[in-house]
Formats: sequence, structure tokens, C-alpha cells
Amino acid sequence: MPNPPEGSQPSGAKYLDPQVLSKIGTLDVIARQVVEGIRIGLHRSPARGISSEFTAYRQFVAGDEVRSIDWKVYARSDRYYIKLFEAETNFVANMLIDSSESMTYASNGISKLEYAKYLAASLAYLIVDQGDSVGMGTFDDQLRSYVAPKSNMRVLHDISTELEKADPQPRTNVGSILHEFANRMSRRGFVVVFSDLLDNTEDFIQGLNHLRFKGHNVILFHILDPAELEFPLEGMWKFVGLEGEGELITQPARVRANYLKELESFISEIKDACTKAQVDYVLVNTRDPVEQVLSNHLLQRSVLNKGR
Amino acid sequence: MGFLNSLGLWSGLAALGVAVPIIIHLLYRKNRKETKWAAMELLRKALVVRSGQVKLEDFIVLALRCLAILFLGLALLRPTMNSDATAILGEKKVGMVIGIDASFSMLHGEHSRFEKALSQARKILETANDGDPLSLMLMSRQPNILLRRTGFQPAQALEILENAEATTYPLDLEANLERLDELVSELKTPANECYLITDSQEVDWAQLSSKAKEAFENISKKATIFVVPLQNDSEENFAITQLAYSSGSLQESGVARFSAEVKNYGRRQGDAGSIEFFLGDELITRRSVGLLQSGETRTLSFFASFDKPGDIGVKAKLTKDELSLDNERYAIASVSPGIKVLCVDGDLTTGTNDAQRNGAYYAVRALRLNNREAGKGIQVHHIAAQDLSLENLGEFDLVVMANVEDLAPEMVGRLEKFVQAGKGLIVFLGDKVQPETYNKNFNNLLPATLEEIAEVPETDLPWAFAPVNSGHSLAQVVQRLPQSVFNTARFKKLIKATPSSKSEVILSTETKLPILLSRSVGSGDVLLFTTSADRSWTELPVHPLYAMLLQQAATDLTSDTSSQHLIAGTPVELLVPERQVGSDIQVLDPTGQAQALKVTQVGENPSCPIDAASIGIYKIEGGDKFKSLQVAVNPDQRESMSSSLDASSLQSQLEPLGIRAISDTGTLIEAIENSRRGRELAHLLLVLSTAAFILQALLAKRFTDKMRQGEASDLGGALQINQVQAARRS
Repeated sequence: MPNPPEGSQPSGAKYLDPQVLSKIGTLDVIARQVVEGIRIGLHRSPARGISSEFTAYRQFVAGDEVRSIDWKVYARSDRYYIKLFEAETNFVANMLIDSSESMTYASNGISKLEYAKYLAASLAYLIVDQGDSVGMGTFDDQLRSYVAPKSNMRVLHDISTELEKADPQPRTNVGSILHEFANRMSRRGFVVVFSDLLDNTEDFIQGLNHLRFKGHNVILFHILDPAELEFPLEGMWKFVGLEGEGELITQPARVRANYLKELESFISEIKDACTKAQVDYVLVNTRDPVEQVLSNHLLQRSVLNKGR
Repeated sequence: MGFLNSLGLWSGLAALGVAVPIIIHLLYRKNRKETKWAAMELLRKALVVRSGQVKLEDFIVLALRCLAILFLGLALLRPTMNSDATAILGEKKVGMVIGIDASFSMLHGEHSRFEKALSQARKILETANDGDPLSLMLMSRQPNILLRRTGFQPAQALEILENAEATTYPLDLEANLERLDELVSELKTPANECYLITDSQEVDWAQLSSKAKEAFENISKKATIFVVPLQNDSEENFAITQLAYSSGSLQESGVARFSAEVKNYGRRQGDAGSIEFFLGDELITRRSVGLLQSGETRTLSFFASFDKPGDIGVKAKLTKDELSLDNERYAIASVSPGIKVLCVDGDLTTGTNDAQRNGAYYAVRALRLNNREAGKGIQVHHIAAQDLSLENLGEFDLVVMANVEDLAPEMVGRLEKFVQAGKGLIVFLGDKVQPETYNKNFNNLLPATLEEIAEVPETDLPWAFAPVNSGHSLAQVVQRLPQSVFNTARFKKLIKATPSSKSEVILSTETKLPILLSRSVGSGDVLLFTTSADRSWTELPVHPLYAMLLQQAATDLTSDTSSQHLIAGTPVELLVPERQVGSDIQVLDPTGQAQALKVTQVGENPSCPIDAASIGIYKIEGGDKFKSLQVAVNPDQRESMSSSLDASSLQSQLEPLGIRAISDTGTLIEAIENSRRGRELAHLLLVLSTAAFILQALLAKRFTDKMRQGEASDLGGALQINQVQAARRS
């Protein structure tokens, strides 16, 4: 089935409207709903999740640890083979959710922050469901809360509790948070960032590079509101900055072209930085259904992985 | 810099107009919506790039809109500039129509008002350029166009003005305005001006008729109107308003009284000087008029005796004052060689003493007062009623019927024709008269319907005359009598009479019963005495008044000259009796100039058309065998009222019509020049206003179109852009 046209509301038969999600209940329930939706949608897909699990054999050479010889293979083949593991254990994913004031903006009933919560929770459900560990942190100008990675469903409850407690604060500094997180995480794993990135772009890019330098796989969900993406307002408007940037009075129709140019430039800059740093970049419009965003991303990722 | 239109009103409107786009802009700003916004940095960057530009665009569009309205408001103010800055606009042709009042009141003054009007016209013409379309018109009884849409040539126009003359006619403002409207309509120039130079007589200008106002409104749609009231040095004027035969005998060797009325039309009391009376060219008498209050009229009379029959001119001349035309007045005395009276007696049983004599006896004696030589004076032929049918009525001027019982219908018809031809009939009633018979048979002749007999009881004193309140010459005869004599005329019996609509009650009893009534029948008149001609019903036949009344009646009924008194400028068909239709007649005007005319037929009567322009006596001559006919022509008295509206009064009268009245020459010329400059500036400002409006529309479209560049092409976006474009264009 082809994807619905961009900007249009998808059919409720396949996708859940983000506004409907907010009425479902707790996050774990929402996550389950979303993930079930994805599974239905991906039943013919070759994707197996975001696991980095890989297994291979090679012949024993001098210097290899004797204990790493696979004796069963030796018994069958009479040759020494060493069993190689990409990871010794399940991978660890850390999700970082921007809970600053700017994330509370909502033009269509659901804020960017709420959307990020649904998206993060759904992703966490998927990860835990396949036996990996997931942790989560919320931040604004600093890391506000952190749930350590776990691989059981309990973690979903903890994450839900933390997210629901999130109290939006102004002044996002995603770059510094990424730096801090890169320093704190000793074990390589996945870092999934949910933010509108309405911040200092250069700092953020540096933070990304830092994470990558530390060997983390980074996925960035760049969450924006449809009004921010299309700027469809008409008439005379007074804009009040959510993070104390002051006020602006203008006629959106007159500056729309330029705004959209600026937005495009902003997104391009981030996208380019992500490409360079081999970070998965996902632009999210909060008008799109969560499962659609997730499934598209997972599909895209699996295709890329296959190609590698 | 000045403004031709009200600065207060129009500048207020202009300010309001300029305020409109600003108010709309402010209201638009006030109605803005508010939202919290996350992507402030992006928005700020967009504004950093665009806000200056947007502000500039807004300012340009708003400024152009304000300018468009400002220029429009200024154009309505019709600003004027005293500098030559407007010369760059280039000269434009101005079409001019100049109407000059040439009614006879314009002759007032030593340096006449008409001369002043011509001087004003010359000043106005100095503002014209060679070749400008020009129409010149003199205004009086009717328009007299001197120049019609002719290219202005100073020498030609000045020569025409030099030869222009005021008329002896009154001003017909409405007719002249109508013609001015036509002349203005003929102008094809972008700017038209219409001037009316007048002495602004109160009689013409104090109360403009609705037709005149309508004409002014029509003209003002096509041209700028300037009414130029002249500055009159004086408004004093004495005039002879009437000169007429008053009483007496208009017969050969007779003596008649003529009366003249002198009126002070000025604003102050003044000495009217003296009045001279002429019979023909002969000065008869000179009388002092004395002091007259403003508006006061004084009557003066003189006696004239006539030694030969025929028409003779009578002239009254007042001491010269500032308007000489109405200082002379003319009348015609038609002197007859003798009056032939047919006395028809219905009662032949006359006694030998006074009490027993019949009515005809007294009537004949009253008419034959003097022993005249044969053929002169009043000649009375006395017959019995039954012999009337044997008489040729054409030989008589007057028929007197006394107590005639009845007449054959054929005879009544002859009498009717006799009167209709201009002759006279006097009817006395009596005991033989049956009211029903008279009412039936003499219906076309009698001035009243007869009723029953009214009689004073024997115990009462007979009726006397009631006080006279008629202007009839016979009533004036009674009125001139002393009260003691007047009261001795008594009436015991009469037949009650109800006057018909065409009749006049001349005399009546103190009990309001008519005694003497008059009625015109055709060209003649009928007098009815409701009492008897003998002494059976009244003592009047032996009263001195009786002879006076009959003498005057005989003169009045046989010498009607009303058709020979004309008002200058009023064309009439003058009856010329006994002339053959188509025959030649000659009309000599007061200056002695002759004009040959043909006798024409009007109705059943031969006549000739007379349109007299000069004041004085006209003589109509048509060969030796016809007597000369004279006509007196006098000016219209309305024009004697020389008092005028001053400039401010005239301005207040004309202001509702949007017309300016300017008296002073300097102010007038300045106003004309300002009007033209103002008009030029107004045109320029209108062009600028239009240009500013078009420019702002183009820029608004351009700025709006620019907004569309680079925007998403989805339907919603396109709709929004359209809304913005529409808002901007509005």
C-alpha cells in the first residue's frame, strides 16, 4: 500500500491519529498500540528490528585466546575456529527527550513534547520487546531525569512515570546535553534524540560528533509542528517567544517565503551535519501518525543496513 | 496661496480622507491575533531580512494612498497660487459669456449704470486671450446677442461695446438666463465663465423665481458664474407713474382735466421739483410738485381745452433727475367733433310742470347744457321707443333709453351690434320696465340681473349715495362734489339689481343697493341707472350731479383711448378702424423717423403691429381721407424702482446657488484669475491623485506578487496568498 500524501491525514484503519493517542491512556498502552500497528504494517518486511547482533567464524591464529575456540565445530570439522561476536550482550539504547518550553508548542492539539513521548515510548517498547535494554533521559538546559537502561517491560513503566513528571523549562541546550551524555555513557550503544533543535545548531552538531566519536549510534528525531513547517498563519499576528525571546509583530503572509527559506536552511544544515556524522536524521511533523513515522524510519534503516 | 472653496469644510473633509487609510491601518493592527511561538529565531531571521523591506513597502503604499486622498481633497479646495508657478501648466482657453443688463434702469445716473457696466465688461475682457470663444449679450425685455461664440478680438469687442445702448425696456431675467444657458452650452472650451453685469434692481433680484434659480443651476453646471453688481452712486428717482384723462369734455371746444401721478422711488425724502404739462407741443402749465417722502405719490392735474377734433398728445414732464426716461409721460386725448346722442323715450305722457315731465326731458337737457353751433358739442335726437326701428344707429355715438318698456328682438340685436362696435348705451329704468322682460331680452347688454322694485317708506328719508369706493371716472365725478351737495341727491325708488360677473358697481345707495353699474360689451360700454330718468323715483334729474354724470358718461362712452396707450417693449396689434386690409400706413416714431407698414387683419378688425421701443407719441398716418391716429408709449414703471441690492445682499441671495457676486473691479479680476489658476491647480491635483492611486495599486500588486515567490504551491497556501493579495489591493 502506498504511503499517504504528505500533509494529508492518514486513514485511521492503519494509523492512529496523534490526537487520538493522547486519549488512549498511559504511555505503555500507547506504545503497545503503536508497535502492534507497526507489526501489522511490517508483516511482509524483512526487517528484524534495530538489533546490531551479528555472528561469524574465523580460523584460529596464533595469539587468539584458546578459550574462544569453538570446540563443537572442532569436533565436527577437526579444525580450530573462533566464534566472533559483534556484541557480547544485547544493545543499550538511551533516549533523550527535549522537554524545554519550545517543545510545548502545539498548533493542532498535540504538542511536540507529547508527540516525542509517544514516539519514544513506542520505540522503547519495540526495543525491550526484542530483548534489548532501553533507558531514557529528559532534558532542557540540563539533564532533568534519567532512567537507567533495562531490558524488561518494567522500564517502560519507569519511563512513563518520568515522562509524565516532565516539567518543561525554557532554554534548550541540546549540544551541551549531548556532550554530557557522551561523557557519561561508557558503553557504546544507541542514542536516540527527540528535539525540535530550536537552539544553537553549531553546538548541537559538535555534540553529535562527540557522541559519534564515542562510538554511539545516534538517531535524531527532529520534531516540528505543522505550523512551524508551513507557517500558514494569515492576518496580523503577535508572536510571543516560548523561551523568553521577546515578542514579534508581523504579517506571516508577508514573511512566509523568507521564513520557509530559513527553515529549509536550518533543516538542511542539521541534515548535512547528521549525514557527515553518520547520524540517522528523521524529520517529524507532529501531524503525521506516530506509527507511520516509526515504520518509515525502521524500513529505511533496514534497507540501509542491508546495503552495508 | 488661497482657496476658492471653503477651507474649513473641505480641509476637514480632506483630513478625514487622509485619516481613513491610517485608521484602517491602525484598526487592522488592533485586530491582530496573538500566539506563543517556538521558532522565534527562525522568524526573527526572516524578519531581519524582510522587515525593513516590508516596512518600506507598507510605508510607500500607505503614503501613496494618503497622497491620493490628500491631492483629491486639495483639488476640491481649488487652491490658488499667486506666484507664476502655475504658468508651467500652460495656458488654456477660457470660454466667456458676458450678459450686460440693458434695461432702462441702467440709464440711471449722470454717469449711467450702463456705462459702468460696459466699463466692467471691458475689464473682464482684459482677462481674455485672443481667440478665446466669446459671447456678448444685452439683457432687457429679451436677449440681444451682440457676439456669439466668436474668437475674441479686442478691437472688435471694444467697438461693439462702444456702440451698445441701454433700452427703454424692463429686464426679463428669466428669459435672459435661458438664453445665457444656451450660449454657455455652445462653448466647447474646457473652462467656461459666465458673467452677469447688472444694477441688481431689487425688483428683479430680491426674490429670484424658481425658473431663474433653475436656469442659474443649469448654467453653473457648465460654467463658473460671476454676478457683477454695479456700485450705484445714488438710488434716488422721481417718476411720473401715470398721466390720464380725468374728467371733462373731450370734444371740440371742450375742456377736460388730466391728472398725473408723481412718485418718489428713492430711499430718501426729496424735492421732486416741478412738472410741466404739454398739449401737443404747447406748454399749458407748470406746477410745483414739492417734497415727497420715500414711496409717496402725489397727483397733479391740469385743464386743457381743445379747439379742433382728432387725437392730440398730452405730455407731462418732470424736472430732470438721475433717471430721465421716466420723467416724461404721455397720453392721448381723442377729441371728437361732437357726440350724437339718440334719446329713446318710453314714456310719452309728459306734463308741463317739472314733476310731470318724463325722463327724456331731463336727459336731453342735461346733455345739451350749452347752446352749441350745429354739429358741435353733444347733439341729442329725441324719439319715442316705438320709432327706434326707423333710426339708423350708425349715425349715433350714444343711445340713451329712458323707461322703455321693451324692444323687439331684432332691435335688441341691432343695439348689441351698436355697442359691440365701440359705441355707448345708457339705460334708465322706470315704472314701465318689467324686470323679467329686461332680464330675458337685454341679457347680453345689461350689467345686472333686475329684481323687484325697492322703495323707501313714505315716513323715511329717501336714500342718499353711499361713500364712493370705485375708481371709475363717473365715481370720481361724484367724489369731487362737496359733501353737502353730494348728500342732497336722494332716491325714493329703484329696481334692485344683482351685478353680473363682468360688471362694476359705480355708485350705490347707503343701503348698498346699486344705482349705477357698468359693463363692457365688445368694444363699447353700457351704463345702467337702476332708478328713473324722471323725478317720479328720484330727485336726481334736478340735481346738479345729474348733468355732470351724463356729460361725463357721454364723454367716457364715446372716447375710449385705452388701446392707444402702450408700454414700451410690449408688442401689440393696434386697431386702425376704417382702413383697408393690405393698405399702406406710415408710423412716425417720437424722433420723427417713419416706418411703412401694411394693415393686417386681426379677428374682424384691421390692425397694424406696433412694437414701440421709444418713449413718446407715435403717429399712424394712412392717407388724407383717414384721420391720424396717435399712440402714447410709456416706460414700464417697474424699472423706475431704481433701488438695488448691494453686493452682500445679492451674495446672500445667490450663495445657495453656489454663485459669487463681486462688485469691486479689483476683487473681481483677482477672483477671475484665482478661479482660473485654482482650476488649473485642481486639474493638476486631480491628475496627481489619480496617478498616486494607480501607482499604489500597481505597487501593492507587485509587493503581493513578490510574496508568492518561493512559497508552497499547495491549495491552502494559494488561497491564503490570494486573501493577502485581496487585502492589499483593497
